Amino acid sequence: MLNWLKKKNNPQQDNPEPNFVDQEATLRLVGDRGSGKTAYMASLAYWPNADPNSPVQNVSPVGEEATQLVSQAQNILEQGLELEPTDLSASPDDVKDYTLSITLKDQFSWKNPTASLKNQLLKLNISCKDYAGEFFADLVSKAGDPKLEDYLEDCLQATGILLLLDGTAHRKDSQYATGLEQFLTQLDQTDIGGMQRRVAVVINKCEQSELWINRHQPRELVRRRFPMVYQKLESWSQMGGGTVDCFTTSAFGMLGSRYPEPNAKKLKRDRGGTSCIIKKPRQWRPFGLVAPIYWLCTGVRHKELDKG
Amino acid sequence: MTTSKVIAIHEFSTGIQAQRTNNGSWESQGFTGQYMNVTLDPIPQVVRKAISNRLFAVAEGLSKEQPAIIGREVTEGEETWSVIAVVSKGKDDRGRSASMYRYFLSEGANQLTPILRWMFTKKKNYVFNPFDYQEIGEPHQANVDRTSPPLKNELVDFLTNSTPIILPADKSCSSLIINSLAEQKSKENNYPIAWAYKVEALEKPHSFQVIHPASTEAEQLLVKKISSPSKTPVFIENEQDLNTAIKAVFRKGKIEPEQLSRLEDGLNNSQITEDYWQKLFDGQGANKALQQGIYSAPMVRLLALQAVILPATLPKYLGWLEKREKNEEAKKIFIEFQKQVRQLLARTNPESEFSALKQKVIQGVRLLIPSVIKQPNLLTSTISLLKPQNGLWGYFYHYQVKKEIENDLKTAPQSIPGYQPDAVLTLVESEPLWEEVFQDIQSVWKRSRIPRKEKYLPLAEFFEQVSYFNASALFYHIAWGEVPGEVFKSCQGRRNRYYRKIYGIAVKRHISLFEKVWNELVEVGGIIVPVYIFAPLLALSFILGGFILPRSPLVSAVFDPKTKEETSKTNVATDTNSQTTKTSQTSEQKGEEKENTSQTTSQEKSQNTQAKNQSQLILEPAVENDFDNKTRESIQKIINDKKLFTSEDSTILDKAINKDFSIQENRIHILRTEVFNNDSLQASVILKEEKPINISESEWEKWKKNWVSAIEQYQKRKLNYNQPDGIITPGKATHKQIKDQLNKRKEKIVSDKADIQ
Repeated sequence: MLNWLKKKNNPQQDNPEPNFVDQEATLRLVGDRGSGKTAYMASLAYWPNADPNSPVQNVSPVGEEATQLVSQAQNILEQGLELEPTDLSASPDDVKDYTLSITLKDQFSWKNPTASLKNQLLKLNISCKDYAGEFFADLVSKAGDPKLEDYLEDCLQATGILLLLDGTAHRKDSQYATGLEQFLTQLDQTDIGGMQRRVAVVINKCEQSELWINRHQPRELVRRRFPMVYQKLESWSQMGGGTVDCFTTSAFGMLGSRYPEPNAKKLKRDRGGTSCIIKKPRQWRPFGLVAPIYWLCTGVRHKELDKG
Repeated sequence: MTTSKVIAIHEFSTGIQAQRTNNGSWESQGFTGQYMNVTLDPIPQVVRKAISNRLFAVAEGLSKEQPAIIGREVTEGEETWSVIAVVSKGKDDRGRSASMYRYFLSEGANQLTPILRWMFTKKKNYVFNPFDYQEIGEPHQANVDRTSPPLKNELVDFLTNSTPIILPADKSCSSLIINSLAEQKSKENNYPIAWAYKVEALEKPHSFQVIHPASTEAEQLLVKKISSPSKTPVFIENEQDLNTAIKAVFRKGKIEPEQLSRLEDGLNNSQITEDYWQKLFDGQGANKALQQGIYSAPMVRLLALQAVILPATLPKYLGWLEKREKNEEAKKIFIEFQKQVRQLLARTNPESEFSALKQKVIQGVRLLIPSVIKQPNLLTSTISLLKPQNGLWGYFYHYQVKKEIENDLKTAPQSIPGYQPDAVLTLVESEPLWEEVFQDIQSVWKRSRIPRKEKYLPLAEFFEQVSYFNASALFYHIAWGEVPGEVFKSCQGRRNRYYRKIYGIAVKRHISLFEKVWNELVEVGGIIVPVYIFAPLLALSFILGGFILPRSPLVSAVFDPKTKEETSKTNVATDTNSQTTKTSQTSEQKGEEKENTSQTTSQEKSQNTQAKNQSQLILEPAVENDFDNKTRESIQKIINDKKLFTSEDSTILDKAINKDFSIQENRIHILRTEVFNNDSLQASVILKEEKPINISESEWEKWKKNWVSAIEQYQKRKLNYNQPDGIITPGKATHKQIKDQLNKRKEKIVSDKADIQ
């Protein structure tokens, strides 16, 4: 009887897990065609050449779709091939929804020293739908289209929006601002259980030199490169629509540390932005991918993640 | 011999905004999300589903310039379409290459051969071309040979391979031959025709019968991918429906009847095995969430849905949920999930609606309860899951499985004493874990004393916590040999102060040391025990803490007194088996004798009164045993004693008393009137070892008790016993005394009767 009592009183004795704190977000990744959405997701899911000093311990794909994304990254990006454009599915239900679990290492915090001592790991559990770029482009040209309405309806489930902008497509600022207006108006029609929706504006392709030098001033970069988009989001936020913050990322990253150069081969550069494939897959180390995810999950910025 | 018939071949292509380029080619300016160059509107639902299920998809980035061809027959209900997809490369205005699909399709099965023949001989330019405009309602008309080309022997050999058959890349053969091979394989395994020709990689290689890779690298990649274990069949037609339903449930968190209908259809489809379901759930990340402890809301719902569809995963799911320290949020999500599903399943109209899903939930409950025996750490979560009637599993426990348990426990010991191995038991039939339990506990129906089996404590405690006290008492009896006072008191059934009869077994209440001491004083009544003897004993009993059976603090701690009280109230109102409110833990510790009268309900009072009345009728099992084995034998010996009853005597007696009765009955009548002086003594309980069917169990026991009481009186009266035991042991004092007395009185009786005659 005593044995049984002992066993029963200590049911978790076989639980060697550290103390996890979970944060989660349901995200929609939106942006123009070729802004690098699938490359961002593939790079995040694959998490190549992890920096041992990075606060990110690991990124784990969950489910078939995310696993397939990783093998895609492996097969395609590592061989220097390009990612195919994502097809615009007839229904948003058919859009691939990538589920990732990102574990952050325990960071000592003076604010909460006891939590730090308890071997606490933070888990960011996200599910993110990678919409075809046509969705964002159509916001301007095809307002009122029933399929677009379905997509907008699908967006309402999201707690966070990751708006990815090709930093070199700044000439499309006014076009984006118009599309964004449609989008935000739609978002405002539903609330998500009292929570404030978060919109992370992410300037992508920051391996391009003109962006790289400003990577640590993301807000400034957005304000200067996409003034109309910035203005739209600012006023949406001030009206109480939700919170907005800015980030910089590069799915491919840089080569070298003293005189860094983009680890990307340019295929095309025009008004619509820059198309690249990876230059040296073996030295592939993306920049800034987790910082916007952390903010979308928690509502606060992570200083270490902001550093890249 | 060739056969031909005109068939209509429809087509449609990936929708793009195409722009002609300077070199005469074209580039895509983006997808439109709608098909182009379409000859039929709408595109059949079954074909759309197969496309969104990625059944025609080549893996991105790996297809080369040479187009790949994929052929399939897709079926839903009565509708079948034969579909060919030609996949080629195109460029977009961002400089990227993209896979472009052109589909050719014809209604009905066995149309792949004519489509292919038409493509190669008549159409010729069958590769994706945005400018090959088509009109809706104007399909291609094809009059071609419909017969499939025969297979060469070297290819026939491949048919022995398991699916998907991967033909070597260097083996030269046409898509028509691949189609023939797939047709043959399909006849063998009854799965639909599905093949891929000249492909670099496929998103779902397992869904094909035959694959012909475009290159040796592709062949290696495909072989590697296929070699990963998959127990699932090649392709199930409504996989997409199931995936959509699963996704909608776990991602949106709002459960609609439509999704449950799809899942119900899936459960009713015999092709969809448990392995297949498991693959679908793992495809959404169920296995990862379990292994890596991903407690996001969608994963909590995904695993909960998995626990519904695959009941065997329920215990693991509960363990997983408990593992995380701060799991309140996850538990809330789980409760909400249960609430939504229960609302759809609990009151269906007609009742047969969702019956497969209901059965799965019921199966989960049947499996979970005995799981606590080997996994006591699941006890708390099992109680939390099954106690509330507004939960999903809780609902089906209270309205279905509890009745099954009650019924089985009543049916198993059909002929008391003794286990009935042939009895039809619902639980045992449906869940092997119960079979083990019933096999294990059958000894209690065979013998009154059995070695204790402590492993049943979690089960006893489970039933106690869900206020099913009779089952709780039974398992406490098996585990400890006695039953905690609280449970004993709350049980239904005939009882006296110490014993209660439950499912044909007399269970004993736990008696505290204090109570034992007290009883001793009462037993010797009249003798005053000096304080110096009494006091140390009393103190000792306090020190040893033997007030009640030790109880685990684990479960009690989980239910705070408030919740406990509330639940108890509900139980009083709804559950006929639990007419008592549970006293709080504190009062329990004060000892069962010191009842907190303020918490005793009127039902309990009336129950207690009834029980007291009944207590006079209850036989302790040991005494009953002695009656069956000793007293009955002794009396039978007496009445069959030829020295005692000569034939002459019996003839007279038979005539004297009642001709309708047997000799034995008449002799017992003599015992009744002449020896025991008690008219209530029944003959049949002596003459028959087994209870007749028309006599109730309580009546039978009452008759035995009457005999025991009569013998006790006799022993006091005639043998001057201070503590009569009510037993007549063959050859011992009481036996001899009765014989002597009869012998002495016999002549008088005979003469009396003879006189009457």
